[in-house]
Amino acid sequence: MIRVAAVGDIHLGPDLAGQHRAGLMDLDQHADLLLLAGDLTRHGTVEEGFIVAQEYRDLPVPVVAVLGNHDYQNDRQCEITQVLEDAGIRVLEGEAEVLHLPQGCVGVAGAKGFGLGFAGRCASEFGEPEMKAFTRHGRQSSEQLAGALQVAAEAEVVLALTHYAPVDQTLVGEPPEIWPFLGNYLLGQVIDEAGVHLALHGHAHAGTEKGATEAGVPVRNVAQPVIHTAYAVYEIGDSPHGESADGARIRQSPTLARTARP
Amino acid sequence: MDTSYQLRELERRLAEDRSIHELGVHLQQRGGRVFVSGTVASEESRSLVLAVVREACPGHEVVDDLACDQGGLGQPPESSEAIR
Ligand SMILES: [Fe+2]
Ligand SMILES: [Fe+2]
Repeated sequence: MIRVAAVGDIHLGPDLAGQHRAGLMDLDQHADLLLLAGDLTRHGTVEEGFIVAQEYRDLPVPVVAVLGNHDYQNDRQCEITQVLEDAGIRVLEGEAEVLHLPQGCVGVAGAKGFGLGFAGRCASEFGEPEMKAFTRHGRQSSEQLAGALQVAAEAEVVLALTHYAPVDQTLVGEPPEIWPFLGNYLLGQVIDEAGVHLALHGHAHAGTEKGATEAGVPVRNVAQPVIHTAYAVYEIGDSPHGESADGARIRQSPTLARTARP
Repeated sequence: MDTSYQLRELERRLAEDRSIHELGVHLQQRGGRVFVSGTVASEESRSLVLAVVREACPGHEVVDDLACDQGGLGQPPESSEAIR
């Protein structure tokens, strides 16, 4: 069994330095890896990047992140990525990290993603150049995730990590007018095509934690204002403790779960 | 502060100002009061937003209905979810 800890949208600034770390010290008691779903900084400054690096460096489990739109606000995303990588935090943008943990092999495919919208009410590549650019960036973000998923697919447990939402179920609570800026159905499509065990995203602070793709892949919105804790933990695969009498803790093996999906 | 256009402009400023960047603040005028609602990133940010609104709305009582996003940031979860 793999225990995945995940949180997004911590939006750290000088006033919050150290606050999240306080909740992370016994992380390995709860989880085998930590995923950060973007919007790690408030304004995307390099100074805030260093605060994030201090918060997540030298933790007892591997930390894998994607950036969010706030981390792009000052056009310093490359420097922020470097600062985090220097602190041992893997930052993915259209890439995969395959972790060989004692509990099993986990592949994390990561990309920030982008808006576009969902079936029937999404942007299309038509009209003004600005509209086409918006739409094209949304499409490219899903292609990046698809490329990363191809690499991650070699692992026993495959996770998709984005900032923007791949489905609209986890946006419920946000005004529907802004959903095209919160997520992108093409991200959901590539997740379904790849066969993923769990998709994690952030960005929708007023959204809902639980949803699923068209093909039934569980999707979790781990924006911190949604989960209300330092991180959420999801268990994937067989429990070492076996099955409980009422069956509540029975889990499919990852292999079975994956072959069951189209 | 007499039109809702001015409040929309102020909301935009709260989102775009480099020292604030709060995207989720909503302002409403009811009678002589301006209600400030939505969520902000921290207590420090709450004070900053309220100060900006007070300065922009002289003669109005500014009502703080803001929520702060960061509850539980230092709190490990009490349970986990089994994904099936
Ligand atoms: Fe956010
Ligand atoms: Fe965001």
